[in-house]
Amino acid sequence: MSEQKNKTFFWIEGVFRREVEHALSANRYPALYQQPVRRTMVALYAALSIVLALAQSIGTDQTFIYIATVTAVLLVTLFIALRLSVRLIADAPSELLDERLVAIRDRTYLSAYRWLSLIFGVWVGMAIHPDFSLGDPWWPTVGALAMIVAGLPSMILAWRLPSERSRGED
Amino acid sequence: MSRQKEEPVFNRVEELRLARDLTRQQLADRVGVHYQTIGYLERGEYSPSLILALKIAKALDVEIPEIFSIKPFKGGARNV
Repeated sequence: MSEQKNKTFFWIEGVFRREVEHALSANRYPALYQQPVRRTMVALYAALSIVLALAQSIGTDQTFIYIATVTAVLLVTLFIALRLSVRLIADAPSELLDERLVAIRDRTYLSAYRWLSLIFGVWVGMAIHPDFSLGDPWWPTVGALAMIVAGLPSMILAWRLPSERSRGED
Repeated sequence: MSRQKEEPVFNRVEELRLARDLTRQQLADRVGVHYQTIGYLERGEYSPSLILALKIAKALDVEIPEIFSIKPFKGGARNV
C-alpha cells in the first residue's frame, strides 16, 4: 500500500486509514480486549461523565475548577482507551471493515441513536423546568453531555462485544 | 411478515483450511476480512454473505456446495 494511501484521512469519521488498520490488528495489550476490562471502562466513563456534569455541586468554589479539569482530562484519556478497546470499529469507515464488522458497527449505531433519543428526551424534560440552569460556568455540564454523545457508540460496542480470543485460538 | 428464526448453515471452512495448511490469518488475508471473522465463521457464530462465501470457496479452491450446506456434512461440521 502506498504511503500516500496510508495517510488517507476520513473526514466524516475523523480517523486515519493507518490508525484504523493498526487498531484492527493490534495485540500489544490483550487485556484491553477482554469484556470485563471493557465493561469496567464503560462504567468508569459513565461515572466520570456524571461527576463532570455535577462538578459544581460536588466542589466548593475553589475546588470546583480543579475537580472539573481533572475529571475532563481523565474522561478524554478514557475516551481514547475505550475507542482502542473496540479497535475503532465504531469510528471506522465501511471500506476498512469487513462485512461482519460493518454489521456490528451498524447495529451499535442503531442502539446509540435510541439511547441518545432517551438522553435528549430527559434533557429536554429538565430544560423546560423553570429552575433549570446549565450552571455557571456552563462548560462542565455541556462538556459531559458532549463526551457522552461522542463516546456512546464505543461504550455500547465495548459493553456488548465478547472477550477476544488470542491469535493462537483464533 | 413475522421474523423467522434463521436456518442453520453448515460449513467445512476449518477442515478445508487445515487441509491446505493455512492459518486463519492467511485465509483472512486472501478473502479480505479480519482474522477473527474466520474464527467466528468456523465456530458457527457468523453466517457469511454470498460474496464472502464465494471468495472463501475460491480461496480454498472448492465449489460452494462442498463448503457450505443447509444440511449437516458427513463427519460433522459447524453450523451458522
